[in-house]
Amino acid sequence: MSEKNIINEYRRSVETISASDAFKERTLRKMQEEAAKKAPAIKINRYVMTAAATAACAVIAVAIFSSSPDEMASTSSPEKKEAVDIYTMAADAVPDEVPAQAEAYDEKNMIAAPEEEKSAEEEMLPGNTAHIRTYDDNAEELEEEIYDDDMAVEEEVMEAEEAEEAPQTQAAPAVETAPAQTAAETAAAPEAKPKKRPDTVPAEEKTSEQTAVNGEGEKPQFQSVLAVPVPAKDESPEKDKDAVIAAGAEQGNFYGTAGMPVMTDDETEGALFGEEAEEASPVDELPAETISGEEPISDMNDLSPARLRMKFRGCSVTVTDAADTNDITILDKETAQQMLRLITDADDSTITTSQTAPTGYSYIVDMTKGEHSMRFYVSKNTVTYRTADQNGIVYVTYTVSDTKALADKLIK
Amino acid sequence: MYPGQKSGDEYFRYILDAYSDMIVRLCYTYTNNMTDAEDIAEDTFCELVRAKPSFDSEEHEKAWLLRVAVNKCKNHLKSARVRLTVSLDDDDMPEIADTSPDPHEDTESGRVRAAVMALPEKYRTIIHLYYFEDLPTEKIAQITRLPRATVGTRLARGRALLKKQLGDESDV
Repeated sequence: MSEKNIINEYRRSVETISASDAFKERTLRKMQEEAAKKAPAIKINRYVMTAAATAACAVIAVAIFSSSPDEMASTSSPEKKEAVDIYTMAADAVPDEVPAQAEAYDEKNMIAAPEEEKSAEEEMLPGNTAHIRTYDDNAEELEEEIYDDDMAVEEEVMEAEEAEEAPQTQAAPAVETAPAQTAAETAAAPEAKPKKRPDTVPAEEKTSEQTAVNGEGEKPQFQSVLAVPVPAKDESPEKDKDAVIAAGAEQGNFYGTAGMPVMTDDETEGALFGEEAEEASPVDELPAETISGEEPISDMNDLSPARLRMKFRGCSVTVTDAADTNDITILDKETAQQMLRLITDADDSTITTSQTAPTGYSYIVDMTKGEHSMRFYVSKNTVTYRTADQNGIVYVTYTVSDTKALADKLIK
Repeated sequence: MYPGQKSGDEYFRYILDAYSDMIVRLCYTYTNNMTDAEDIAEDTFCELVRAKPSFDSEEHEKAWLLRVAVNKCKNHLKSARVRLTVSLDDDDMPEIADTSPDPHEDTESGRVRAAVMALPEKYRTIIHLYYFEDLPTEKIAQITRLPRATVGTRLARGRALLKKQLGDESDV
């Protein structure tokens, strides 16, 4: 056969395949239902709600950062009140000596910043756990964390001091005035002279933040409460990124805060089919409306035996004897095939509907596939299928030749 | 929205009249089953309503529908439902009320269609789009998301397989 003939014959054969009128009507109805579902009000509401939530967050954020604790306390907003409480608690944790200590530094032209000069921006420095935690709901947790951080820093200082030589310990200022100073620290630096900087470092070149970061000298005690960096030395960016990606992948979020897409094999495969269309076409496992038996139907085309047969391929079948309530679950192919035959043998013209459940049936057959199931009432000459239309539950009955023999075979 | 594009029910009817045969045929080449083909086609049209894409032209509209249908067919073939299905189409299972066209009908065109349907899916779809829908290889490459060269190769191989198969049958 020549290629031209093959093409012509193929065209001719494919032209015989066409969408039936019933298909068009059914699809048109579904499209109308989909259009009705896609109400624009929902979309508008979603945008409005998003905008409102964003605006509310912005207002709260501005209020928190621009108001003093006293101003904030004057309002009755629960969010503000909570923020004030936590802010106040954190502020209370600052030792009373701190301002005096800072003033003393100033008097000697030292560089420890006075308390009032610490802006919100400074407190927002990375690692400033205390400030970040003011957003946390649990104030007790915050307190514990501050305490833990404080202790961790003190331990680090102790270890460092033990390892260092005596001259280095002399460089630590304000040792005696620090209220949280432990006995061990004091013992480790007995000759430390308060309010005096090491001679080797020009005073104006060092800020209090620098002393804290460099670990040189004793930092002012308030830093251990409000400006102590979290143990950032253990948190490499790579480590963080991996953890975020791993956590995101577990939750199905492929674009975590690290901003790096992580795709599973399935996703990669899906991407090959095209992003736009892939998004629009998730895997259709099993349409519930054709199998649950509870979805409204408007014409009998949805119940055609061929469609039912296709939908129930590979399902499990449970048969209950009306006289004996013992259930028998049958999964083998032969039984499922015979059960389906009950339906597919029926002529469309023998299908009748009723508003009432059948009586006098011998067996109940539940056909299950995934979470969907359909119930059939089987008598000698009929198989009744429960479904629903616009008026509610209806029972659709197929008249079949003889189900007794099959039913007897099912219940062995 | 391209000039002359309708909206609402009128648009739905126009879409179904214009493209339902095309989509059902394409789905049939994938599934080889009329019921599944109609289900996928139905879902494709519903997707058009859900996604509400904006088309520049009728060509764009047609290509979008074909691409979504191809993706849905692939998803269908990948789905657990199909993979775990036990076929019930044994000899003792009567073909009742199944409106699927019989590919084994005893005509020349029936034999050709059976031969096409017997091809591996990757050749079958491309042959259908090329010979029946008259799409150029470039468009097929866009729809199937394959390189143009791959489309050409598959077309040639599919054609060779088809010719061989039908040639052998003719000899018989």
